[in-house]
Amino acid sequence: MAKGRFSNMFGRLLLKSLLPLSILILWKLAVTFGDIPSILLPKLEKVGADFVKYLLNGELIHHMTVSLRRCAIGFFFGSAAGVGLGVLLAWFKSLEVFFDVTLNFSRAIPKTALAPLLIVWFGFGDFPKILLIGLAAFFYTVIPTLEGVGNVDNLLVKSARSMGANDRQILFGVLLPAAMPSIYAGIRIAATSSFVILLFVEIISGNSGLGFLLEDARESLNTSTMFMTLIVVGILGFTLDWLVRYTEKKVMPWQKGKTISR
Amino acid sequence: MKLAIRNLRKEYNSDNRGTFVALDRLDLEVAEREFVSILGPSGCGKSTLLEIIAGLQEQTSGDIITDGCPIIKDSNKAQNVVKKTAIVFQHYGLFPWLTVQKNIEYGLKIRGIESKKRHEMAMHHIEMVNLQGFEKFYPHELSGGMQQRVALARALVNSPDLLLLDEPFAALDAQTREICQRELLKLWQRMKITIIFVTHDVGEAIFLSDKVVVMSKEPGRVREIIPIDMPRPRDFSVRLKEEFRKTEMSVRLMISEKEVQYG
Ligand SMILES: Nc1ncnc2c1ncn2[C@@H]1O[C@H](COP(=O)(O)OP(=O)(O)OP(=O)(O)O)[C@@H](O)[C@H]1O
Ligand SMILES: [Mg+2]
Repeated sequence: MAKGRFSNMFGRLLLKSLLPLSILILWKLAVTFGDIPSILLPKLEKVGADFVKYLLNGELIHHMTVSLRRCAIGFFFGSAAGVGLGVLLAWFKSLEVFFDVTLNFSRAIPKTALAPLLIVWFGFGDFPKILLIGLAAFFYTVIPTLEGVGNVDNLLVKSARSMGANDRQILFGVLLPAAMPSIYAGIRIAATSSFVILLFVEIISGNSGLGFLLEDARESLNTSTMFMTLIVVGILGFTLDWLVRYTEKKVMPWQKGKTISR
Repeated sequence: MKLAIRNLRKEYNSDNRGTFVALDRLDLEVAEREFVSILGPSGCGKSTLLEIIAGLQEQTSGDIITDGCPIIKDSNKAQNVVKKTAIVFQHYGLFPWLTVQKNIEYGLKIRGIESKKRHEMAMHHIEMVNLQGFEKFYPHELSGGMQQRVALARALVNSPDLLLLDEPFAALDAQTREICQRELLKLWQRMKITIIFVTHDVGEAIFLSDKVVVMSKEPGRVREIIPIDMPRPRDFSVRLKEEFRKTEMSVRLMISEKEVQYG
């Protein structure tokens, strides 16, 4: 039985790594035997060498920290504001009516479309980038929060009231946890899109950051550096996704095993 | 706690039905430590009545007087009244994000009871409703009957003077239901509380109660009050007695008549 389990696991691992390995081998073969200019597809070794070079001279860490910092600040303040306003709007119905048109109109504008304007207003520094990410995170969280809190089963509120809960206890002890699945869905989209928007805005207006590294590599026709950056970006994106799902389980332990069965 | 309901009226305003009168000219007296059951067709306003008594909904007109004080529905002031009243909802209303134990502790936490004491009281009540070993489970991991028992424990742990139960045993199998009925009677006798018990089970109502209230529908009001004089403590053998079966038959007739009339 144990052996069967092991060979099963081993088989799965093999199956999982089959495609990425074949891609690497194909890459290697194409560069070695194909007549492909290195500006289109650099040698694998060159990508690796670039990675070591940028790691050792500290540039990679520098651009990574700059990017992650922008992303984190924008995401944090944006989604905090989004959740905060969402809760307020759900609590005070007239406030929701007041904000309704404005919110739904500005939500409909893709946030990346605001980049040129923000650059005109605030230049090429950190602030417009963080602001753009913040705006996106805000709009991705405010509506799910509003809807999540608004749709909480009234029975839960009655339950808490019948045991003597006051408004504050209802808000923090009932409405927020009950709406958490919805709020968190918004936070998840906000987190992943923060990263997307960050790269976009760094590419079009960067002087630092991973997006800038990509654009800089394009200008100097340094394709291997581009590939290296893409792989780093991929790893970061992957980690971000994992982090979001991990915290979801921590924040909402009761949701475990409640997923839709497939 | 004793209770007097005078000329109670409840209207609901909804878009598709306009103004709907759920309860009208409803009068009811409940004595201190009395066990009262309410029977009536679906939609006659039983749940509505309980929620008004619990201060969770506001009546359109009429009065509810508990121990001489009127109940006022006010989200924050409701606490004063509500503290002595506990309600078990028809659909439980357990908090899905809290474990069985934390659900039961909720009311104690609201009242600021310290965690060690809370834990003790919760454990005691978990034992009482026979859910040992499920403390750390979330509601969705329990069966309907188990959830119902959690809801019961969550109400009882607050040691109410007035306990409102909305079809609390509906989701239980016959055996568990009998155990729970017996336990409820014991508890009622020991804790000296007043109970208003909504059910669709005529036999259950008669077995448990000092008096059975039969309600009629549209608008919901009290149609008949039947005192049950069988001596206590009662065990299940009373169900076999001539007196019990006669009462049961007459109540059944009363309910079905009504249904035919409105059919
Ligand atoms: N929030 C509400 N808004 C509008 N109408 C309501 C509302 N709550 C209840 N009603 C109506 O009031 C009537 C009484 O409802 P209630 O739930 O009190 O009945 P019930 O006697 O408990 O029924 P059941 O035995 O099926 O539980 C029903 O016709 C219902 O449609
Ligand atoms: Mg009901």
